[in-house]
Amino acid sequence: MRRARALAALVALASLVGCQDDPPNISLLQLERGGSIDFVCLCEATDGSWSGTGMEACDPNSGDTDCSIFALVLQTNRGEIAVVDLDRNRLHDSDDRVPFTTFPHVGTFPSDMVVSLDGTHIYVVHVGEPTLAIVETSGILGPTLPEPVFVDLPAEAQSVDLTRDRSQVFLTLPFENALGRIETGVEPLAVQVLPLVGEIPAADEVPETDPDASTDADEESDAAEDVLDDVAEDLPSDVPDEDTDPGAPVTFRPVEVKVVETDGPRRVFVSGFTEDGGGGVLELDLDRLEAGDDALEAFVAIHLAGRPIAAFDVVDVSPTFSDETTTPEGRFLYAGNRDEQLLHVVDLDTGEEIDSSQSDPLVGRAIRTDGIVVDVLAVSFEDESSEGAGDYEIDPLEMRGVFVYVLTSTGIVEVVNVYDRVCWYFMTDSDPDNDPASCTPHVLRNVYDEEDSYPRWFDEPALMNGDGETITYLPTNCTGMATPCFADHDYMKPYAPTDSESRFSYGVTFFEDTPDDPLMPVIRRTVSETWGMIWEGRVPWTTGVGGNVSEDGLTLTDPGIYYCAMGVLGREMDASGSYEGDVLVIEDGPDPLDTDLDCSGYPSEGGAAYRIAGATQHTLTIERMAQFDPETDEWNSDGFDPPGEECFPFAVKYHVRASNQWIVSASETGFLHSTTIDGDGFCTDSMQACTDWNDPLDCTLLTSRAGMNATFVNPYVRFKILDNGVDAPPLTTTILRPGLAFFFAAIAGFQPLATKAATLPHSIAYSEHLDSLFISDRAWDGLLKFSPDAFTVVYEYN
Amino acid sequence: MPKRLLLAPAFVLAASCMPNSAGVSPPSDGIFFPTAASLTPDGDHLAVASSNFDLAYSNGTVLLLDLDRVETELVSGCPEEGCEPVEESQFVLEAETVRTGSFASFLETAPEGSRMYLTVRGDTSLTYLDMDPSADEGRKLTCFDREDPPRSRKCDSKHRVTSGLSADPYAITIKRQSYPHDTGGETVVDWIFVSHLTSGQVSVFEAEVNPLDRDLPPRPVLEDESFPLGVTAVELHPLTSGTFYAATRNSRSLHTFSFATDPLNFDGSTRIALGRTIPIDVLGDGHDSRDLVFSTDGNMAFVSNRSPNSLVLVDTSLDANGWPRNRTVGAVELDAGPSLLTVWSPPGWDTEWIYATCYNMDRVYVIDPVLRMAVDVILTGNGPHTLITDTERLLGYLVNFIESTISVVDLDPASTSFNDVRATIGIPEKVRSND
Repeated sequence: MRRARALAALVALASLVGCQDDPPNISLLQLERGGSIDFVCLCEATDGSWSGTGMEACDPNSGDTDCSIFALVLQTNRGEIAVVDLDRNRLHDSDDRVPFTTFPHVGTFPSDMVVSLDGTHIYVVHVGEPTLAIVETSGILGPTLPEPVFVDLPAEAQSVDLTRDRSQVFLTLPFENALGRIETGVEPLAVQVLPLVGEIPAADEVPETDPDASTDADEESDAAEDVLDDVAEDLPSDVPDEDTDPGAPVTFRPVEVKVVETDGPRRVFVSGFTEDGGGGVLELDLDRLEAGDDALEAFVAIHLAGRPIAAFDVVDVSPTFSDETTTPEGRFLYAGNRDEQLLHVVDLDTGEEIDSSQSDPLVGRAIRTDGIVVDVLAVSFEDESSEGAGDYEIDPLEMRGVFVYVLTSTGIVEVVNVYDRVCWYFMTDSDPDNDPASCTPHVLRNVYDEEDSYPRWFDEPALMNGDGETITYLPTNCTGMATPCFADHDYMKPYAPTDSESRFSYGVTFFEDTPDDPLMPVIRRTVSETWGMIWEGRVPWTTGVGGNVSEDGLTLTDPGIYYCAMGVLGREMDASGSYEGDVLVIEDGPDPLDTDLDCSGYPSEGGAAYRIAGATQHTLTIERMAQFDPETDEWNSDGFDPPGEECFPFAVKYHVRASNQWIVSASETGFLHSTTIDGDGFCTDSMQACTDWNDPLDCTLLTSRAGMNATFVNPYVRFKILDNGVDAPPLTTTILRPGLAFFFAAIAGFQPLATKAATLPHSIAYSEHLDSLFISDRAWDGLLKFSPDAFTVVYEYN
Repeated sequence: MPKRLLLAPAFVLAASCMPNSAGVSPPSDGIFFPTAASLTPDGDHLAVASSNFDLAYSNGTVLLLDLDRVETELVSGCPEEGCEPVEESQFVLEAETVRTGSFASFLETAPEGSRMYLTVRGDTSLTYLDMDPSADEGRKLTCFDREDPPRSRKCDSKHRVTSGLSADPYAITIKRQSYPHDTGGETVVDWIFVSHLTSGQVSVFEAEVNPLDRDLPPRPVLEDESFPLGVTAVELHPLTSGTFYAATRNSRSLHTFSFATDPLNFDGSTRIALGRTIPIDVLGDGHDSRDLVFSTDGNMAFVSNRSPNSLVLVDTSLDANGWPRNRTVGAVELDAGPSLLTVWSPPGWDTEWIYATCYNMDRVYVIDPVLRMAVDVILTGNGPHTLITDTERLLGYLVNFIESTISVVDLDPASTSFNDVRATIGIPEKVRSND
């Protein structure tokens, strides 16, 4: 019906063009709403016919001049596959009898496409109709349009992949909460529905699994639900409420499927989400699926449980050089969070999520991206040298090794270093004394500020490690220093080692008009908490703790986050009697800003220490740990008052023990907010006050009450960062010297390597033979050719 | 029905200063540049507001289409490919047509009530219409004294509230609230929020519901100027009792606010308190928002954006503390000129779709909010603007502004013609542009 209508519309359009006195002013889109991308190598026979073949025939070194590479781009609205001749840089007209450029039709609203490894067939699934379309590549160049073979499915499918020998097709059936499997060698073609309904664990921790264990046929008893039950039992007790209930049966709605057949175990990965906001990536055993097991019987592990996952890719890193012993060998899962601007990294051999946080470690251990991840692509750039380090010549700017490209909803392309061969060479091959950890894997690749600025160590900035040594906070005298030095913003007095604890407001900028004490400004006039930073020469980048910090002159801001009480969650007292994590210490009980508020009925906040039990943007959840006894001048963790109500909000000051994870830069802070009470009685931020530097408003707080252990908004917190030494007692009255938990690994720009390549991107693909990335865009109707070395768009097809 | 159609940019400028002077009377049985529509409270009729955008007539109109006749005499007899366009006059209750100011913007029916509210840019009014399906012919739809309808059937001054209203009133949102009395009984009030297209204002009116026997016009109570320019939509979060969301043309964020008042306290003042902004950070340069709607369960909000053309998805579900998460979680591509959004949740179906009109491309995109992708595109008449859904007949009525028609869309998911245009009410007009 839809196809008929589209054809009718086309005919009508053609007739209009021919009959109208005044030709309509239309711009005919040729590449419209591009979706999935794949490539095919087509070779021309002597009789002029074309046939698809493996990509090796299109290798420029193969000498076969009758073969050409074509990009195939799914056009969702038109239900077509656009054929792009990459050798001639033009769109291919598959049927020149029809006006304008014509492409093969593949069904209503196709959603995903894959070309078989042998180049002979294209498999297309749709969200507009419950079919799988199979197109022979030999017909896609015309002269007439090929007729797909349609295989009926029980419901619409969203994603498709197939085995290397194309003997099996896997597709996701989101409306059926199932995975579909088709054996292509069995006629008639029929789909086996593999339900994905079971007890999905909620935590991100997955028990260690032997990747090969489940392939043993003797372990049939290791049924999926048992495995999932085991996982559920291993869950930590403090699973957030909003995560999936580990004991409840969950229907897993699949999004994307990938078949991974490497030298390691043969796997099928399925990403998805659950109705309650959970999800993850299922790892299924391909051998078991081939043997006829259903999805849960073939279950190996669930990764990133409790997190909704859409796009993902799997990368397998193997040592390239025989003399390297520290290559980050292994299998890794890169998965984009469906709801948050995060990219998760999982070590598939251990099941552990890797801490790649460059932003808020409280929010997650993932890489914060610019926008929602829409596609993930692992690329291994061939390293032409295999002679070992001794004879190795390398261009420091060249991309060699293994990288993961991330395409986000904002049109940004970013790169994650998985195995940066260039860095590895300069860090370890050239000097065995260098710390190999400096070539940090699984972090966003950053911008190099000079052509010869390859990653390498400067002297380790020990002062920045917060180990009790003097920290240099010299806003005006950084010249000649190899290490960066920090300074507060204009209105803040530079820190000196002799500063007392009264200088608690590092990183916070206030108005000047604090006549009584410029170092103790009126808190309601706080306007910013961006940090100033002064450096000499190149700016280091940070690993694990810094983040996507952008710089503008001497002001650094983190565009990925707003203000947040960031740090690491506090944990229970361990066997040694000490606490880990961040601690909120309220040293005094400041008067309420609303002087009419009677707080006499509430215990004083002064002299109380709290464990930070939860913190997100603008929020803190605290639990009282101890209180200060003025009579004994000591902190007591026993017998302190039980948690009670506080008179909130206060302008509290607190110190955070950074525990080696702390973010110092932010923008659009909670400091800019006032609070109000919404219709349900909750405190919420109100942006009506103090948002304009030039026109300060009265930010007098409204009043409300908040109980202990409740998460509340307190936009007026002030902080300083204490030493991150593990021995720093959180309850001590001795305030340690401020320190920053930065650990500088290499030099280059602070900013991640990122390029805005598209407006509403959909997919990214890599052609090894052309050494180019291709990006489809749904906003302005095109296919973009992207150079991985120049890191920019080099050609546009539309 | 004569129509002289000439679009000129000057008309846009004329919108705010055009008097409703005497001239050519508007047709009572025709649609001309329709901008808004709404089902009548009984669900039997579709009220259609014609904007008189080219000022061919002295007034705009609101007329009633008989939906039973549309279904039985038109749609049910259409072949698979749909019917040819038909004259609208055969479905119009001509005796009920009323005259309003020109440049009507939005038409909203009060919840479970007998009133409809119409924003009119030409006379800068909030016009209200009374609907009584059981009344005699000519008195079902009125905006004047029902007992003594004027011959012109032109809305009287009582029904055109202009005081307390700034230029270019646009979108309408109604929040009904009851206030129990200590002595028993309750006062029920409709709070009517009106956005303004060319300013950063939101106006609030109070309309009595219980008791209604006083038949008072809505009373202006507040005009807040705190918003960015061009407020295009105001909606109440269904899961909260008082958190509103506003979309604007000139901001890259959505704005939340609360509205506080106590109608039992006559000295009490009303106020709007702005809350958190929600940056549209899933887009590189997301701005020029044109509409905002919530999902049926309130866990998601959807925003149509023109820069770039997209539907932005906002997670508005409540967290453990009962606060909306208010984070943008995705964007789905749309075609040029995204305009108004409609959430369609068919009775008996555990699913819903978002319909987004794309004015410049004559298309309506159908979005699956779970998959977060477009699953269908409806090819429409010229200038689709707003889609009204009919849960009784499983039909949609698409207002095509430029060609002055109403497309009837099959919205029955079980139908083979689901999401197809089945019929067109009105003969499409060709519009010439002089630029």
